Amino acid sequence: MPKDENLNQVIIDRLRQDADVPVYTWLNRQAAVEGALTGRQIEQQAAAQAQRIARHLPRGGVAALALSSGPEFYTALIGCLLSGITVLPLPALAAGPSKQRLETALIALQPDLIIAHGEHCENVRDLARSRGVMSPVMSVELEPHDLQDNSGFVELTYTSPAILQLTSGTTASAKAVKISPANILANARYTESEWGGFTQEDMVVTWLPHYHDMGLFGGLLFPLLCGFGTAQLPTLAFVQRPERWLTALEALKATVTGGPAFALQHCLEMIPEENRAAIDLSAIRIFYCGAEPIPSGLLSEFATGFAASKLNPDAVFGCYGMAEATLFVAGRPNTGTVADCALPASGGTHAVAVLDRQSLSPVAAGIEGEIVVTGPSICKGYINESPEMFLADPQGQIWLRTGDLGYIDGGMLKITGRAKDVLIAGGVNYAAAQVEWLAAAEASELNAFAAAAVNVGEFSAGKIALIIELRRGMKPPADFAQLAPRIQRKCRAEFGLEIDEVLVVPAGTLERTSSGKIRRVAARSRYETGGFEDVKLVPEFRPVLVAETPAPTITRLKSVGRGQS
Amino acid sequence: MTHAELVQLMRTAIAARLKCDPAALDPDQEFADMGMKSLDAVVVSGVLEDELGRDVDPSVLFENRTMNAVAEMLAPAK
Repeated sequence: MPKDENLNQVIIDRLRQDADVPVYTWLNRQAAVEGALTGRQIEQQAAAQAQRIARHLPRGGVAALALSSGPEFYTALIGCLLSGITVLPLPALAAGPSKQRLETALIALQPDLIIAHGEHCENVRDLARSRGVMSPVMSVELEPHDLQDNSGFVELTYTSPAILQLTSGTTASAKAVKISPANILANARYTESEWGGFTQEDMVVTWLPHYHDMGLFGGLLFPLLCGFGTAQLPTLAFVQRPERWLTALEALKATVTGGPAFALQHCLEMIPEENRAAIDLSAIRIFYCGAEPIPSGLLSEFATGFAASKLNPDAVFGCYGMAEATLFVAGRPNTGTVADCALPASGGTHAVAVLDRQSLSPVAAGIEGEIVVTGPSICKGYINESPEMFLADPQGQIWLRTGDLGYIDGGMLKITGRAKDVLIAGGVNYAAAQVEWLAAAEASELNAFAAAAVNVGEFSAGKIALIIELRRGMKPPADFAQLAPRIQRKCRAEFGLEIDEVLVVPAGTLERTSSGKIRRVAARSRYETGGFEDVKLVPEFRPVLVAETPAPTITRLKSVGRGQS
Repeated sequence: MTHAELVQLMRTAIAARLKCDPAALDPDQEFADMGMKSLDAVVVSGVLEDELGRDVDPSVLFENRTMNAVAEMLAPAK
């Protein structure tokens, strides 16, 4: 990246270069084109948005965009980026899991301004006020016709983050990554160089949520910065009928697209083989799969499964990344292997290494350790929090601790698990505590602080188990048989998260650290070896178990008993 | 579409998702009790959407929790 590149100037140059060319296209639920904006129209609409926002907010303020995907979000985003407003991208108000994200973000981050669709403003305001968030709420609008040519945007020097990207967390501990304008440009340029460059002939079709890093950067901003077009399909349209994604790819002659493993699986399950030959995916040269662990065999199954659609198998590849690195870390098409992520080209702007978690020194090839990454797209940290997430090497280079486990072999990075207390399902991270607390709220007999929600089985399978203790001295609730299904239903409704098994165990069953915190890693391995089978409470045996409150080993029970009330 | 046709459509779509016999599905049983997960409900809303030619949000299935209730909501009896 040339040293003097500035996000603001790169965007303006792009919009003016393609003043009369569609830069952003949006599709309806049936995947038909609903509208498109040229570079000039985007600049004008963004300017109008920026002016409206500026009436409520000074430069450097934080605007939450609680909007659905579409031209309103896109132009508000560009308007903010071009005028030095920090964007907190959020879903529009709707029932279900995304509401939780909206609520969490508003409470934890208290944005200076909330921008919502006109029809949602009143409900968003009520939601915010009911949780003590006093930010003004402004409706988003598109100007009905083209405006004057001079948008008034001038080059500016940024002093605050461009984007606050919510990663995971409970209301009490939400984490938002501060992503600077320079981070965004650096990651766009890095992705471009790793993927062999983009041309104006390229076209991305995205249905990924615009408030997640992959949808925001991969789907919207990188195409803008790298000089090609975006067509956006509503996320729901894809989930309802995945063939809509593929037919949109063909109709728009897309060359670039991607999604989490779940999306590829969904296509394989939902699109009958006999329908695949009618779809032409031959233009696709980049089909990335990232955001969550990739089950072994999935990518080759997908490539084979859609060979009938003329999908180039070398275009399909695994990717690794995270919001803390803006988006992209590793993965390249055309490596001849689809399973793992190709390491960054050496001598480039970014590097990946694997460290021993105790000594923090690099491990040999093939040995598992914690993945660390360095480069100009590594963010400065989280808002409201400075955890021990960075390391410095002897040259003073800063490395991000990813919290992911993996190993390097033959120039490829293999991800094997998570070191952090984070669950991954459907491409979304959930703090384990968030799930445990929600579950415990289902019955007063359950102990929210003595629970372990863990990914189990082969990491990439995305299975989740919840092991939760009864509170000391408590009997299982009268409707014990209904408890597990109720918890599963609750997690589904609140987070859209599927818990595969819920085990209720006696107080003191779970292993603790010296400070009394539950060791989720230990709970996970014990679960996987069937170690809870003898102690889990089963409705039929309730009287016996209540009377005895059996523990797996007496010593373990004693050692943790002191810390319990 | 009539109420009966809508129920039949859902029955077929749900049975395909859950890999069960369509005849075994009771139109008054709650979706959650059939073992449907949120993704299944979204997929079924997509089937309804394509058949009806208008947007059908998954919330229709979350708020009206049985096939009969959904059909009643989408095609109210006179």
